[in-house]
Amino acid sequence: MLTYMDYIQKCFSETSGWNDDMSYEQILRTPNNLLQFKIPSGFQVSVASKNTENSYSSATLRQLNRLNGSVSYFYSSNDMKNAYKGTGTLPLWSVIDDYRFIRSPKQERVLQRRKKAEKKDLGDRNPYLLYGKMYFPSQFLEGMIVKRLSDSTQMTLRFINTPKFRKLTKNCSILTLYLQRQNDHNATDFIYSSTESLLGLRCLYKLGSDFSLSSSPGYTDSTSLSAGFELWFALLSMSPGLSTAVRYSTHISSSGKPLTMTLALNPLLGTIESTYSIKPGLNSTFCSKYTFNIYSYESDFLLGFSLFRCNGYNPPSPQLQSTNKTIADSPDKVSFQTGEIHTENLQPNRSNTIQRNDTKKVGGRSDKYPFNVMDEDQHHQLLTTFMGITPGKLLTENNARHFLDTFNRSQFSSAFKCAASVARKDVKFAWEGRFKDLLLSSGVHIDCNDSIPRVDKCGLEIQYSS
Amino acid sequence: MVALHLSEESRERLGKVMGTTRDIVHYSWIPFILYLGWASTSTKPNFVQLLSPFPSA
Repeated sequence: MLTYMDYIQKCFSETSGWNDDMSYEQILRTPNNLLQFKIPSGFQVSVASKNTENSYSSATLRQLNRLNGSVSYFYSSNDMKNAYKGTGTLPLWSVIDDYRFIRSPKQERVLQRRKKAEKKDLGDRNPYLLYGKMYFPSQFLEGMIVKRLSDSTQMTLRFINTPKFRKLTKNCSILTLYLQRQNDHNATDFIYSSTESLLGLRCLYKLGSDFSLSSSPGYTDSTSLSAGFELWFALLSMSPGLSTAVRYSTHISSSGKPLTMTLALNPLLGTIESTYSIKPGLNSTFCSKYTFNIYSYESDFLLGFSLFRCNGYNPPSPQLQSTNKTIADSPDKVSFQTGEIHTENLQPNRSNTIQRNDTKKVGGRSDKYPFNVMDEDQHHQLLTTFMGITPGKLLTENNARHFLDTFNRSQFSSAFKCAASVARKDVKFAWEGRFKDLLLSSGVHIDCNDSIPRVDKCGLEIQYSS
Repeated sequence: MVALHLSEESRERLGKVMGTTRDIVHYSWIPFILYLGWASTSTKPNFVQLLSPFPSA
């Protein structure tokens, strides 16, 4: 489950129009969410609230061997009231790490255009987020500055500082700087870390069948192929690092169910990892992973799944119900819903299509047929749109959109996750859900290497925010 | 890489300046965030409201 800090950062990215998934760092996010999810250690309680329009605070108390805690404060220069919700009202899928729906370059472009329009209304084009967290009793300070430099560039500075208590102890500071640049089809990250003077470069390229600008605007394609690599070099130890990965994400044509496949390679360490993740239903996700090392011949097979409990579905917004009445009356009952994170990205680009409201008055009367009042360019554009539509593809996209629309409207109340490794002989269970206005997260990690399985780690986390 | 040649005294002074700057940032970072939150709002909440993570009644 996301921590409060991660949630605030997510809200900030959402309101400022930054896509966190558009980075090489996140290329294996779906398999990692399902196979390497975090198990809480000990008992932890955190309380958070929105103090003013732009500032947020949180306090955490943790019991693991001994009692410790932390307080954290946030300041965001842009107003996050549309994205931020307390634990009592936020949709559970937005804080539980599960299957990630990948947007194609075209969907990305549509979303970016919309976000730009929204940002113009907000006024602050280059917002920033400040974060500070102090741990007790150690008094370690953790800080972060996120600053948008332009529409496509963002700078993030993270630091950790330990205080100097005695003359003999030396204080330690670690500083990491990220300079990120992204657009609808590629992303580049430059990283510098003061630890070993580490320099890093991450690149991600997104390819899709609707990559070109001239593709038909009438529908979107949710299939995407992403490829990327990362390079690391430590200046002090002169040691390099390298990895590369490919990700293919699509929807099953008959049902619109999403699936993602990845292949990652690390030539220096000799590891090859392949994963297959699928969402066979709205309430379930399944993932498998196979790893192999070409130097040591060691291999592992991991399996994981998550099951969601659904209490019902939110109705589509009334405005959209009336707008899409004709579509909703069709046999497949496709309902378009804007305002949601995922579905809005899949909205067809209607900016170039002809709306019924665009009818002009000719000779003092409103023309019923807009085709008659179009100029030659519009005729050509409309015909190209219709000629470009492949019925089979349109059906697939409608199914995909319907699946996402229903998923976004689902009222999930809890999730159960399980992951197991064949070579390591361990199994993890986690339960995350909502009780009243509290978010609960619990889990257990069982090691089966010995004759008697032993509990390696277990814990419970309680979160409340308003 | 160009090596920076500094005398022992300069190195010590630079270390002290760096240490002091680090201490100032360490203890003023959170008050600075709180101040920005206080300055950005027109209602100007009191110190306890600004500091407390508990929801106000």
